[in-house]
Amino acid sequence: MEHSRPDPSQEAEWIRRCQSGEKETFAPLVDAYQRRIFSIVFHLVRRRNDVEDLVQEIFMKAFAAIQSYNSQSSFGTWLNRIAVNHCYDYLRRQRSSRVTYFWEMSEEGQRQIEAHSHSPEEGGLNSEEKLALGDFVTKLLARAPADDRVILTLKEIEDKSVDEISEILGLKLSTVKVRLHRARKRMVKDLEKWQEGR
Amino acid sequence: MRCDAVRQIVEEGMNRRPAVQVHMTSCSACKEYLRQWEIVQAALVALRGEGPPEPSLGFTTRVMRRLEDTSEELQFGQQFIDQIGRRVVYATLMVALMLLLLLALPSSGPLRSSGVSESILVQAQVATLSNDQILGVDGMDSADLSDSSSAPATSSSSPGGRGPK
Repeated sequence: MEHSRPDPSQEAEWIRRCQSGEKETFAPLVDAYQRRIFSIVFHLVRRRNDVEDLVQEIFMKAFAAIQSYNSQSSFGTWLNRIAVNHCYDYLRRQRSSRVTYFWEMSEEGQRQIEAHSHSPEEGGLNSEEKLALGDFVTKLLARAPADDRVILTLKEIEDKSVDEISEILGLKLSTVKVRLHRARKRMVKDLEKWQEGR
Repeated sequence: MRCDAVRQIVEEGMNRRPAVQVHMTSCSACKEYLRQWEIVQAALVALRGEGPPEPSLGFTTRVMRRLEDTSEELQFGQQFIDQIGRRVVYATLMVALMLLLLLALPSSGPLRSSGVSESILVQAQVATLSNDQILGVDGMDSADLSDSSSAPATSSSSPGGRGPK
């Protein structure tokens, strides 16, 4: 099932044939990009059970819009853009029914985070500590607006550069930087509120 | 340096810059911000290790099957519009045209239904009167005439009501 990035000329040929109506040439593109899309969708929505359905829908959308792909960006970036937009819609729908708040996290989780607050690299953490940190940030992200959640996930979890984020979201570099800073500030503020409320 | 600019630099992990260091020694708020950001960042970085679920076996096949199903549905939709939908559109246009005609016609005149029924009634009354006159001339007695005049509502419609004597 694992597929490495296809040869660019081969990929261009599949896309061209797909655009001219040869539906079956979409299959190798799905094969080549499914893992990347699974990763981005999982990190954005963080619901294991929903990921596969969402990825299927993303590929359906991509196929429906394949005529609009014009090679200005790479096919991967174009696909990422569709994935992120689809997840945006999903998160907005979910937001109204969301009930989890970051201050609901366990005392143990809080203790672990405080203990490791000066070691941002995950290398020094054991699996239990990583779990507690994951629990904490998942709740922080769940509380964040969709815009913040998407941009923080792309930068801090998917480890995309500001340039890549700008291409995926179709925003100017300066706008990405501003939004990123705003999202980070909100996260810090959330953490402070939680600490005050304890 | 302004606090906001320092914080942006700090977020990018460049807090070792001399200008930032100088600012940090005198600004406790930025120092606290850095501490809090490191907590959040540690938590975010921890999520990188959490791998996404694997695509299940036959994922691509299922996507391609869904694409096939969708295009079949689209074809069916197209056929429906071609065959049934067009008729529905024509029928709707006809109804709309009729309504327009009804609204556009003058409120009175020979083509209006009320005008038509009135003229038919008048013609019927005229015809009845002339029939009665004809019957009177042909030998009906004065009593018969007075009967018919005393019951004007029925006389015109029931010549048999008079019956044989």
